[in-house]
Parts: sequence; structure tokens; C-alpha cells
Amino acid sequence: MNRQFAERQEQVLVILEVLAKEASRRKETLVFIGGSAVQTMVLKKAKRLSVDLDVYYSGNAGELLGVLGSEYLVGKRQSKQADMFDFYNAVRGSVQVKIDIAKFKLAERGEPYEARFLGIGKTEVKVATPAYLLASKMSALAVGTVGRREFAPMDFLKDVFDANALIDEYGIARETADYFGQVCNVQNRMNKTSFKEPSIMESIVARLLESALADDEKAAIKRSDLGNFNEYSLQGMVKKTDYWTMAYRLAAYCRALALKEKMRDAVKEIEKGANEKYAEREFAAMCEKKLAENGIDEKQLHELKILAPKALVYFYYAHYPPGGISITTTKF
Amino acid sequence: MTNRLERAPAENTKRIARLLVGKMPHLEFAFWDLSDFMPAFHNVRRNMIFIECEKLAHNDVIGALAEKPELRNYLVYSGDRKPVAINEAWASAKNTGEIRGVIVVVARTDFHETDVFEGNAHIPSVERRLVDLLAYSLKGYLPFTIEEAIDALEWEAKNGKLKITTMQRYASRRYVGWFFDILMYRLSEKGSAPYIDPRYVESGKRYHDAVLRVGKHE
Repeated sequence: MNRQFAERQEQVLVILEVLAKEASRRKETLVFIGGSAVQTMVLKKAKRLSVDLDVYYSGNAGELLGVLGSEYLVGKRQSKQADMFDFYNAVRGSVQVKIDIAKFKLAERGEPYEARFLGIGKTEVKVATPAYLLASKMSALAVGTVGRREFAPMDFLKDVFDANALIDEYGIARETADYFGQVCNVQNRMNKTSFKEPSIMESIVARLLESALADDEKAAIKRSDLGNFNEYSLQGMVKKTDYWTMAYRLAAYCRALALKEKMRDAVKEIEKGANEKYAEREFAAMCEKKLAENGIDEKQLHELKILAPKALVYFYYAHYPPGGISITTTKF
Repeated sequence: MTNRLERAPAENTKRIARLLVGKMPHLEFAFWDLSDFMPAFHNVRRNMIFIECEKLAHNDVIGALAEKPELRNYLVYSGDRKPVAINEAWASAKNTGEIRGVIVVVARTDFHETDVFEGNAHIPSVERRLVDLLAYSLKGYLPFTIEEAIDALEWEAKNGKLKITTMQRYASRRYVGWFFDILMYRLSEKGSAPYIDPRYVESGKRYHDAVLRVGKHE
């Protein structure tokens, strides 16, 4: 763990507490979102450090940040979508925190947040729900459609890691599929695009699969990226094989998400395969055989089977979703 | 093949094998150690644990072992045909008493002359283990003298009926067939293994004499 990052994360929470109190005084809504929300307030125990503060705020962000005035040196950063976001830096001593403020409603329907309590003073903070955060993390992976504008390995890795941590702790709620659709609509509106859900899903799966190729030279996420990521880790090292498992799990879940009302049954079957049958010789051989028939490199399949058998099972379900039709993932 | 599982490795070695079976259920590997031969050795004090598997899995095998705190104080050798110490710097900084043992992870995909232990884990026959010791010591890859390897072989030859034909065939595959034949000749001369097929004794004598002549040649 990097000490500088730890100091920054500490400041994220200090600033959040001040902003939450001020927003409440102003009778405005402030919702804590993003990786910091996942790690510091939603998971029982943080698994990685997160050093940026992402919030939604219903009022005037400039006025809100005035409350930091005497303690922090606050500066505005340039925003390409000033109607949607305000970006700030808050500096105190040698610690700088980036504050990204979303100005658009998080969802078209409902309020995807809940009250949680922060710090010794038990300050009430509105935090996005796990279902919403998972939907938003999944949609961020759709680089090329509604997700992040460019593929940045570290951001992609953090999104994959956070989504997996949410699934580990909360599973996948029924609302996630609905929120996913809503987040995609918001992103489409923001970017003036009109991507439909199937092509968005396809772009997520394609990005995940190319990020986790066994050949490090061809993989979009390389060993060196994991080395950098591990500076943020609070729970040991994330190895390449761990990354394969996380990425392929999300790819399989994406397929399940597309099955709508059958989603939860599909997820159950995926997890059963990955946790109960991964060690069975016949099952692994079947996965390997069917994937090879689908044109997947046999060397990669063998490597998966030996080094990360659970990843092989998730990889299989990313191509053969339970209750769905087999899918050949094309380059998006 | 005679079932030699009654001559299984030490409990700690079996624990390591079970750990690998659990962590990597589809990895085919063989494992063994020196515990059977310990009474025959003079200078070998620490057990040496061998794990034979495809090269692809070496780093992950070592990583899986390193996750166990009690396995961190081992000197680890790894390699394709020539295993080399991968944590030599660490070992140099330790007192010899702190190093608990040696783990050798070698690239092998040949699991003939082995019995199934559990899942995909195999235990090599005593014959194969003895020939491997000869091969490693002769080639100087491991901190193990040729005298110790010969002592182990002689001790086993005296105490049990070794399958000499199997050993000879395996020794040829390990490119030490000529050396094995010389040893058979010497053991036969000493009366240590009277059941040795005269064919090996004959060829062994030829190699032995030839080596002596080379030694005397000016």
C-alpha cells in the first residue's frame, strides 16, 4: 500500500463529510458515487485505496465548495462537458484531492441512493446503492459505446475490481439491470449517441475479453498495469490469474444481464459452475472443447484450465450463457 | 507397475501436494522427496522436495507455496532441464538454521513410472526417483553429490528388489544410461544386488574399463 495514496483517501472522507453537512444545510442533494463510495462506504471492508471524490450535487457546485475555503486551496479544472460536470482540485499541505461533481440526475426513475453514516460524528451521507454502483461500473467498461471515452488501463482495472467486489458482497440485484439501462440512456444523451443495449453489452464483453488475453503482449491489461494497481491494494497482490477470473466473471455476468428476467437464474448457474464444478475434470474438458470449437486459441484455454480454472468456467459462460444461445464475440 | 504408495513421501510433502491439487486441480504433476533415502545419506541433512510439472505453471506453483507461511523459509530451485536457485540472495542472507528445506520445481511432462496419489498428482516409483537423483547429481544441477546418490541407490538395492530393467530404460531417457550401467556393474561386483541382469553388468564393465582407460591415457 502506498502511503501517499492512503493520505489522499483520508482527505477524500474529510472533504466528503464537510460537503455533506453543507449540502444538507443548503437543503440540496449530494450523493457519494464512484470507486471511493464503493470502497469506503459500501463494502464492509475496503479492498483498495481510492483517491478521488466523485459526487452528484443538485445545487451550485462552486458555492458548495466555498465551504472548504479556509482549510483548502480549491481550484477549478477544465471540463469538456461543463453542462454535465464540474471538476475541482482541493489541496491541503502536500495532499491533493480531485473532486468530480456530476450535475445530471443519476437515474431517470427513483432515487438510487441511501443514507449511510460517516466518521466519528456519524454524519449522514447519501451514498449510491450497491445495485446502482454496479450498474454504473459495468457501463463504464463499455469503452467505445457508452463507457469511458478512451481505454485507460488503470481506470478499467479499477472498474473491474470494484464491480467484482460489489458482486462478492451483494450479488447482483434485480434493480441492477434496470439501473444499467438508465445509466446507458443518460450516457447516450450526454454523448449524443444512440447505442442500444445489445451493442453496449457486446462492447463490454469485447473489452473484457481483450483485456484478459493470456498473451501479455496482446492483452490490453498487462502485468505492469497490475503492478501499478497493486499500489492501491489493501488485500494482497492481484495477480494476472486473479485478473482473468475477475474480467471473465464480469463478461459472463454481462451475458446474464442481457437475459433480463432470467438473469438471476443464469447468475446462479454461472456461480455454481465456477465454485462447485470448476475442479471437475469432465466439466473443464467440456468447457475447453466447446470453446476450442468456437475458435478460441487452444494454448490460451490450456493456460486458463491449469492456472485459473474458475476463469475458464466464467470464460465458457461468456460464450455460452446459461439458458441463452452461444455467442461468438466479435471485435467491437 | 508395482504400487509403491506405501513408500509415499513425508507428511509435509503430501500436504504440499494436496495444497497444489486444491489450488490447481487440473495441473498434472509428480512430487517426491528424499525422506525414503535419508538413512542412506551422510551429508544430506535437509529434505529436498521435488515438484515436477509443465513449465507454464512454475511461477504459480511457487506462488501457491509462498502463500503458506511455513513454506516461505525454503530454498527454491526452479528450471527447465537445469534447475537454478531462484531465491539465492534471500538464502545467502539467512542463517543455515533458518532455511527449513529445499523445494525443486522442475519442468517435466513425462509421468511414466509414477502412481496416482490424488487427482492429477503422481508419485514417481522408487526406481525413477533414484535415477533422477543420479541424473541431477551427475549434471551438477543440485547441491547433491554423486556419492550421496550412489549411497541411496546401493541402500535401496540392498533393501528391496529394484526393477533394474525399468531403471535402465529410464536412465537412458535421462541420458545417464551408461553411468547407470557402470553402477550396476560395481554393485554386482560388491555383491550389493545379486539379482542384477548379467547384460547390464557386461555393458557396465565395458563402460567402466573405458572410463578408467581414459583416466590413464596421457
